[in-house]
Amino acid sequence: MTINPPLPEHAAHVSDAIAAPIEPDAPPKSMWRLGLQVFVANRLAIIGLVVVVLFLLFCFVGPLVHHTEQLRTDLAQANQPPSSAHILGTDSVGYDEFGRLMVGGQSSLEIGMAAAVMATLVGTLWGAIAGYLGGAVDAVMMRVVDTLLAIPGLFLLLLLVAIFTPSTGLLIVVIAFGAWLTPARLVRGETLSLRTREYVQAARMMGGGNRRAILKHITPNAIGTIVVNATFQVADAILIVASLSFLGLGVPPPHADWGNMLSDGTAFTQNGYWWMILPPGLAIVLVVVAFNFLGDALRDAFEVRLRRR
Amino acid sequence: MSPVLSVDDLHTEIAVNDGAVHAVDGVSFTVNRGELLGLVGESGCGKTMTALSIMRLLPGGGRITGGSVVLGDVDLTALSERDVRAVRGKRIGMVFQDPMTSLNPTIPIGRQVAEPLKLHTDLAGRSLTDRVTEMLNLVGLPQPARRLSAYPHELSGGMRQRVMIARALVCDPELLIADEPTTALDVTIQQQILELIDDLRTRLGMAVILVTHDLGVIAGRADRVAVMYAGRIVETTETHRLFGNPRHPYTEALFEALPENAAGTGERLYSIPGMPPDLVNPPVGCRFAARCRYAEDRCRAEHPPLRGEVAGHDYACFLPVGSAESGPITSLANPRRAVVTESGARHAAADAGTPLLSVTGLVKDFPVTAGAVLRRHVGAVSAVADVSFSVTGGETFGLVGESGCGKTTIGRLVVGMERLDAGTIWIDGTNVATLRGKARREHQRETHLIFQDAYAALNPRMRVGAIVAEPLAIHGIGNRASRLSRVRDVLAEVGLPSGAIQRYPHEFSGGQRQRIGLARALALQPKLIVADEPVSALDVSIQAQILNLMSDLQQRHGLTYVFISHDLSVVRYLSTTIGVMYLGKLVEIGPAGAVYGRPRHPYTRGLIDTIPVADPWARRTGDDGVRGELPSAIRPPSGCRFRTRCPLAQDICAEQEPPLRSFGMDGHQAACHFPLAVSTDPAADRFAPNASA
Repeated sequence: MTINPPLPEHAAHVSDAIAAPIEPDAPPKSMWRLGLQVFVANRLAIIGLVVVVLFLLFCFVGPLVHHTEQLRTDLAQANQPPSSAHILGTDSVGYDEFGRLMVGGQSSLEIGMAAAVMATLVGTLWGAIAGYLGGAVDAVMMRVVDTLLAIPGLFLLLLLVAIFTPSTGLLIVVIAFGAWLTPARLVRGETLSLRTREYVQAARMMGGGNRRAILKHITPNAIGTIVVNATFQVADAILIVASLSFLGLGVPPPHADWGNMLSDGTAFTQNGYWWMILPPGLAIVLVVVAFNFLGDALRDAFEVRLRRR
Repeated sequence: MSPVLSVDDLHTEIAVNDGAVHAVDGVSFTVNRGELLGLVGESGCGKTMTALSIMRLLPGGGRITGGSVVLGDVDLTALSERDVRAVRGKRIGMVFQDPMTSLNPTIPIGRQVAEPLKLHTDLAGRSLTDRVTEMLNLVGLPQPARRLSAYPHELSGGMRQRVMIARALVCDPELLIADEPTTALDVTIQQQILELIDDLRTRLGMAVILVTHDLGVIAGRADRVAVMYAGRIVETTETHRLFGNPRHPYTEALFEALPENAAGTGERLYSIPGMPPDLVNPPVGCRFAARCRYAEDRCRAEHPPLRGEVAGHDYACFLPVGSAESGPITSLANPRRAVVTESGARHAAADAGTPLLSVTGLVKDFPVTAGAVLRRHVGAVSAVADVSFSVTGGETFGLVGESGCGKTTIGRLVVGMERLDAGTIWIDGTNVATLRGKARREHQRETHLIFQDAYAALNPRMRVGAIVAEPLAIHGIGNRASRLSRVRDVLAEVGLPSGAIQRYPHEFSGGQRQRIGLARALALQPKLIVADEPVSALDVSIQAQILNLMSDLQQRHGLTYVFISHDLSVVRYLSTTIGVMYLGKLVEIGPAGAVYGRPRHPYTRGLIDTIPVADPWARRTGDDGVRGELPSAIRPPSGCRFRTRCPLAQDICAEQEPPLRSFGMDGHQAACHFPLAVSTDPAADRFAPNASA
């Protein structure tokens, strides 16, 4: 070994480096791309996505194509079965049921998605801060969550809606107020395990502060939990809007949502007016199931991005 | 005599998204009664898949696609799942790596050991309990009758592995497969478990397959060795022949990559370039050709058969090491074999500087609490108890000891990740222990910690560019462009292309991830780098690459390292000064050569004796090494903490704590009432330079 000719200073080191090349030709695959591949491979996810997109188009672009009267009632046209003039017939005050489904869907989807986003944002921050700081801060913050969870959700909603006049904005806030507790608890649980990860400790070791740890290291790594929960939140919020409206506490007339359409329709169950019950009911079920499919698929997509090769 | 097990041309595939991994590709071997076959190879070489194929316990997507596994006279590959179940646990026992996850935490160990008996025999009641007790006694579990109702968490790691062995052997199997049985255990416990397996196979006359990545483990125990690479056996022969006369270039390279072979000389380690091939589309020809320093065109075109010149020593190579075709001439001409002696520069730095890091009277206790709500303090774990040492700028201080000895805590205290309870830490003239808040954070620029698991220390959702730039961002240094150019520089310095910036950590191999960790450490140009087991998770050939890189960086930037490891040969290779820790105490400290060559503390001596050395001729007697297990640090023994395991302990050891005493002028100190005399036995000096040849 000693008779080897001496090499230039870094020669050996350079050979080590050549030794371990990452494939130079392959373009860097972004994490989102990898996740997308898994997502696309999941058939249920695609079905879910298509259903959600179709409903969004139906509700927000539909009224531009299919003009109907949704402000003034027309009792002469009330309770019409489906015909060429009214594809899905009319309801008890003469609104076109098909057009109403679009307008009602707008409120349902808007409220559902906005409430879910709000609840997720607040819940995530609350949970991440409580979990990361721990100790007394955690104890106080989580007791707040526990206390709110102890109040029956529907009771709280009914109370708030009874105090204030229902409007789309109010419904969003009210539903989010009841819904942020779940993501808060989930994210806190996730944070408790994430904060012991070495990369979080590494950031602290380098002199990084709490804000950096929470925003750069903890939250991005809890994104799987957060996004999956958010999709379930959308589904839940749509159902809550529907149940509130069903109880007569939804958006006030002449606005509509799928819940109060269903509620109106149930008065005519005995008359066999199926066109007032089946369309809004099916719409709720389809959208909720579609969002749940999306949630499941996103969970898989986020998992795979973390898998070791 | 017909072999207990003969595996013939075994092929196993595991289905993955884009094809099938040919994990085992034409493996053949036999094991005889009473024989211990060592199956060695780096991670991903197919050794565990071979073991699982024998048991027919392949993971999802895995299937045996060809060949036979004949146990006695039954071909296991042809049996139905039902019939295989009658073989598993009855005729073949298996021991897994991690005894904690292999035992069910909710079932007492007595019942877990009895489980195979209930499945495969008619024993019941009294005779069942008797058999279990007998077995636990055989594997050396103290007071087995009383421990039958103990739960796994009540036992230490070593004891749990004994229970696992008892469960594997309770039905008197013909074959025991031990898959990395000691990798999760401490070095002192490792030796005890290996001895037990060795002893049991002679007493029970069974065949054993010992699967491991550690050549040292094989050297002392195995009768025959099969070296695996990329799903194939590349060399197989009896142990002494393999270690004395390795013929396959891969085997030879593995030996040269071992740090103990270069200990004390400061020579660069030989590191096998590159990484093992992708087994989804394995290369044609010899699979090692791409990394082989002797490879010719023929190697890349044709697959060399496994055969040898003499009976009983087979290798799959056209140009075996030591033959006329390869030999020293080829190796001289090959620039990849870069061995540069650089010991001069390294030691010169050591005696020049003043202490960069100076630690005095360091104490750290972790409170032990009880109760979920009120958290009463019921005691304290004494993690670090009055430790003092200093490290000269530009040198490497190695800190060794078993897990739980407090070495990691010291590293974390030095970089400011833990608050100390007493003592001072002077780094470059500042007592960082007194700094608080912003000043402390500011000072953290001077130090950096490198973690053992490089993957866990890199945020999986950040690109490498952002990861390496993070220390710069935290301390608000430079703008986007200047940070990017700094990232490029440090990546180049650790041997990564700048294309790495856009990638995520999971796209890199283990060694490359540790390089990223090093790049991040260098970004702020710290003076002191604490490396906590930086190579323990890496394969031996990759480990050599990282060790070489670390010493290159040290020379180029005058870095000071605190190198923490349980692996004494790695510490020996890199360190100028070594501290040996035991249960929160520094028991011996001194120049690396002195501590290894002339250990004064019985614990140091014992640790050195328990290291598995990749040398089958090394002296191996049962009495060497450290016996027993680490006592609890909540109530550490009085006086000398090592006395409970010390062969020399007397009354005074329990009464008085021995102070550190000097031996010689070179700063060699040990804390012992009965220090060892300097050994004149040349065999004991095997860590001294040139003794390992």
